[in-house]
Amino acid sequence: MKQLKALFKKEWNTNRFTLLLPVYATLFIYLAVGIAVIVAWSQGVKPTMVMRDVETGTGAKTMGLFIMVFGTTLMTSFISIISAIAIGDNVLNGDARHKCEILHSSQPVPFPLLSGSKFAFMSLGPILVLGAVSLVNSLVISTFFSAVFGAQFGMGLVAWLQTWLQMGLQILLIGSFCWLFGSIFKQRSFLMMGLMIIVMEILILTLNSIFGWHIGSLSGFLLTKVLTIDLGFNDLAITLDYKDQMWDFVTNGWWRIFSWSNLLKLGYSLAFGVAGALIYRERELK
Amino acid sequence: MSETIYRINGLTKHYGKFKALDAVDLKIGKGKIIGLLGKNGAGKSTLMRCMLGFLRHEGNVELYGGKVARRNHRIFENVAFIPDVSGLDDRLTVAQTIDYVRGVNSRWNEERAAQLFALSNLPLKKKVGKLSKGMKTKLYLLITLSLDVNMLLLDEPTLGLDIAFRKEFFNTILGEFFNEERSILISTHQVEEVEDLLQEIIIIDNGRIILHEDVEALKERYRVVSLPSDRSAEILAHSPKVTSKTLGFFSAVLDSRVEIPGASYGRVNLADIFLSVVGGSNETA
Repeated sequence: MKQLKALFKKEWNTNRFTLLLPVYATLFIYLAVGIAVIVAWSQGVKPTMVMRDVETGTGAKTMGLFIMVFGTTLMTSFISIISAIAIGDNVLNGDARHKCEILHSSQPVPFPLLSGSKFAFMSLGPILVLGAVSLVNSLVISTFFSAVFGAQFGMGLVAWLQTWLQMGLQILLIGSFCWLFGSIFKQRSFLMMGLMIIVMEILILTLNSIFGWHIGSLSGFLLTKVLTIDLGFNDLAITLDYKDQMWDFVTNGWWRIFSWSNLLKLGYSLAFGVAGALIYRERELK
Repeated sequence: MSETIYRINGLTKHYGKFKALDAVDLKIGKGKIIGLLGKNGAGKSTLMRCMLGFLRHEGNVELYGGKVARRNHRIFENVAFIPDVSGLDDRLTVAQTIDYVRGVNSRWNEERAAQLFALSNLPLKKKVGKLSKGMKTKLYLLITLSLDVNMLLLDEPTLGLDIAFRKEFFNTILGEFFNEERSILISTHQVEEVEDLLQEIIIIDNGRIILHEDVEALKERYRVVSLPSDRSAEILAHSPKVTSKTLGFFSAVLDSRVEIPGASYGRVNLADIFLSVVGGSNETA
């Protein structure tokens, strides 16, 4: 436990800035919104004015809250994905880049603990930061929507939890995929990952055209089967003013989260994680 | 515990087609300070890295009778290593570095660390990247000396440091680390500075161990033979690998059994022995 704590602390000390990118971005947005509100207020504009002519029921306002929380969590999660990709490369290759690989490899730390702590930091770190930042956002938005428009406060938290879980899995999956390539390439792993996919795509196209084969597209497979995410955009098209349809929307959200396809994604993530760790173990120290 | 710390048999390492180590056999006992000498690219660093399980290799490396597997963390419960470059993590502060090793290394001795760091003037809040090379080496040394290990591998640890610091470095190691249970293997450029410390030397050339002997016995086995320059042929008749001319005299390191009438004899130092064994320029790293 002492070793694990020290390993996490080291990763925290060396990747803190990247890990907290969503926090900085959110603070920046709050600052911008704060300034905008102050300026608007000084000119006599009230926040409720934008809604004054729209006569809608509580359901629509609650759905508005749902969509707002969903949208802000989604935006934050994109920054968290960037953060996870950068950390994935850094935890594996940062020591070599900073010429301190030997120091870290000269400690009596079992390899599963070492690689496990790196993987956990790369994946859980951004997921937890996303969770914390988006929870604060959802509380702020829910408080505002319920106080000003009378929307159901709890629905904001449901939106947060569903989007966080769904995007958390996506962070884990994309992070693990980049972690795998980070273990293969010590330098510019993200770029090399892109190049490798393009090369394989060209190879597949060439083989298909020469031999008349029908090998499926790799990038197509990755984008539609592995890295894709179903956030239920189609369900948003339902009429918003009925509680039952709202309930269906939320229920469908839970089914999407606890689905076989997500379980499969979890499996892919673990497979990428283990494969990356094994490749990392085979590296020779310079 | 065994008298032998390391036992190496038939250790061979290839980098592509290049053979960096060629069937190295070696035994390192406890309570020894051993110098590892060799020219650039002779295989010193590769040998140490194989001993630490960092590299794939052929042959057998045993530590206290157990096979050294690649990237086996248990090696570092007995061995500490200071590499040839400032290998500390420059992203961490001094305090974070100490805290990190304290946390991950089960051999950390808190009491000894407190004593060692109390005497040092290391700026704890400063980033390692902002420290001078001397400070970095000092930090690495103090961290290493805070570990309860029995074997210390030093790969050119004082490279690029001034003479006063180099003296202090080796004195600290002698005073704080060495005892009859512990051994040190030092690869260094400055043979003269560690000459008095060493009990054994290992000379490696082209990946092969060409000499492993007790220093005193070695100094008995060789001596410097000098003759007036006009009699140089009498020395050259013994095929010395390296000769020198100074103030009308011609000198070479020869076997102590060689007797030349009228010659003067002097005690050899390790640099002389190294050159006489390996030949070439006076470059022992």
